[in-house]
Amino acid sequence: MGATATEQAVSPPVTASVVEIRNLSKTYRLMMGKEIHAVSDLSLTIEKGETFAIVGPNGSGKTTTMKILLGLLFPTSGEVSLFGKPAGDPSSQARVGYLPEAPYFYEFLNGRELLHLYGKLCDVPEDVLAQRTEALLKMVDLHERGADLPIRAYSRGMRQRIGIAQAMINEPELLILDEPTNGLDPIGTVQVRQFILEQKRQGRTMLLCSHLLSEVEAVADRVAILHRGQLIAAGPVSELVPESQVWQLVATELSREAIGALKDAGLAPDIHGDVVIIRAHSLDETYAALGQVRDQGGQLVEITRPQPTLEEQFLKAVGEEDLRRTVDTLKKSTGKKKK
Amino acid sequence: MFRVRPIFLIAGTTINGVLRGVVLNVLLVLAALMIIGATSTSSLEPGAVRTTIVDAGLAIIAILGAMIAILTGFTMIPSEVDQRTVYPVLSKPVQRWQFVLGKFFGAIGINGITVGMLSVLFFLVYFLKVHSFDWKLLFGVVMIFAQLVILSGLIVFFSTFMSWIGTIIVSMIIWFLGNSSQFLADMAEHGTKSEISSAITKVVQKLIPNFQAMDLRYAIVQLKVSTPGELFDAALVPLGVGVLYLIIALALAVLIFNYREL
Repeated sequence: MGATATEQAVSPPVTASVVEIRNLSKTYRLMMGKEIHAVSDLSLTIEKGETFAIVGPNGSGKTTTMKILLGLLFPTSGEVSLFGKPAGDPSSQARVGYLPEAPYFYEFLNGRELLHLYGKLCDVPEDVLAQRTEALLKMVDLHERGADLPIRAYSRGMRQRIGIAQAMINEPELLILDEPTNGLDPIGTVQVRQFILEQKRQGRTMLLCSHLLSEVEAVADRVAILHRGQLIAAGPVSELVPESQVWQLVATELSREAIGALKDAGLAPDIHGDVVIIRAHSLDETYAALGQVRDQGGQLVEITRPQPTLEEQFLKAVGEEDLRRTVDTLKKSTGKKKK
Repeated sequence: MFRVRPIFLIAGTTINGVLRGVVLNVLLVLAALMIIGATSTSSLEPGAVRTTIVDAGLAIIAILGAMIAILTGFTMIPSEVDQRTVYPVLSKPVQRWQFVLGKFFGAIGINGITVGMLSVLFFLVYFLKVHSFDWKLLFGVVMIFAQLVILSGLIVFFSTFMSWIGTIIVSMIIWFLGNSSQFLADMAEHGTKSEISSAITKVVQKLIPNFQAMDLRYAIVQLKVSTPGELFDAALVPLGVGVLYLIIALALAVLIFNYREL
């Protein structure tokens, strides 16, 4: 699966590539000669206007990859470029907006001062900066309460919102969002999702890093699943989450005999009091189940086609990877014992 | 892309953060009280008034200035890295050398505010007690400021690779030994019979900037110099050596921070 995933992730060379990662590996060397392979041989590209998401459990290498992209960490091997320039190059950084996982800002500054500082660091002209600051404060709903309040007095949600505003201060071509809804309440989460969708609608290139797969599923064009530093699956959400072949029928008013007949037809109904749920795994089975319900005098309440979620696919992929690793380890240890 | 603006923006933010914090303000009030207390004793003979005011005033500015430089300086880079406030800054078009120099210039600004405010108070007390103004005092505080600038350069250097506690300890030791340079030289020459310890003392004395040579208190108090030219001559060599130390410390700080993983 790994090789296929890599092939899928590395899109054909397109001149509009915003992010290009080739064979990236990052190894942390600890004391006593120990090593941690945070990222192993990762390759992917992000095209202009694309919303790309990196998902994975804690320790999968998501944040390490992002930090390398921003020039905060250096790769052990491989190449990383943004807008065709090496990671950390100021000319490419000027085109990037970054929202850190936890908002790390100067606590003594207020919201307006913080945006002014970051805008000036990005060389935003003074007159533009003044207008943009107010517009962004309004966009993130901090124009009334937060603009003159020191960051130290901000709630978690307010920090996240000022984080989004500072990431937008230079009107970036690439927006990197690390866990954008981390720690937000449901309203805040919806607001951030709306913000991302709005940016997507405007055609802004985005790189999302999240463990909330439902969130990613709703907004991302392509997804890369990382696990223990390796890319285990990648591609468009529609490919990662295949269309369901299962139909679910909910019926009532079915007698014992009718249920028996369903069982005889090999449909294995789930019985919950008066409600019977039938799962059909093909169109033929679905038609057969519909016929049985009608013939036995039952009442069809609902017929749906439940879609598998990205989360299910993710757990499946991670589970398969873990299983493969366990088998490999067992094989190795058995091999050693035989020797 | 050579831009100096980020340096001054980072410096300004650093100064702003320290001014809005507690440490600088508490230490400034403490220093002000010490200057007023040490110079307002009434039991002095008329001839000793000037000597005491100059000696105590300049010593308090130098000591409290160094304390402020160390206690505000050690947090600059380590706390930015620990609290990760450096991430959003370096994710903007800001290079690491600009960040290091910004922190250094921020430290210079804080030293300037410290020395400036305490000097104004010191000159005021001197004028009220002695009823005149001595231009040599101005030279004295400028040399204290120069000493603090060099110390800040060293603090920035150490803080690029040490923890905050390590930076405090090493900076204090360097400041103390740098102000005891003559004592170290005497120790190396006459104070020990062991050749090894004598050699080590000599190396330490040569390696650490000679802050003592930049302290013109004795020359001013004892009226050893009477013209600006003489004062300038006395300060020129230690200042030159200090600037050399500063350039080396900042070059190393930039080099280390450039390759540091954050």
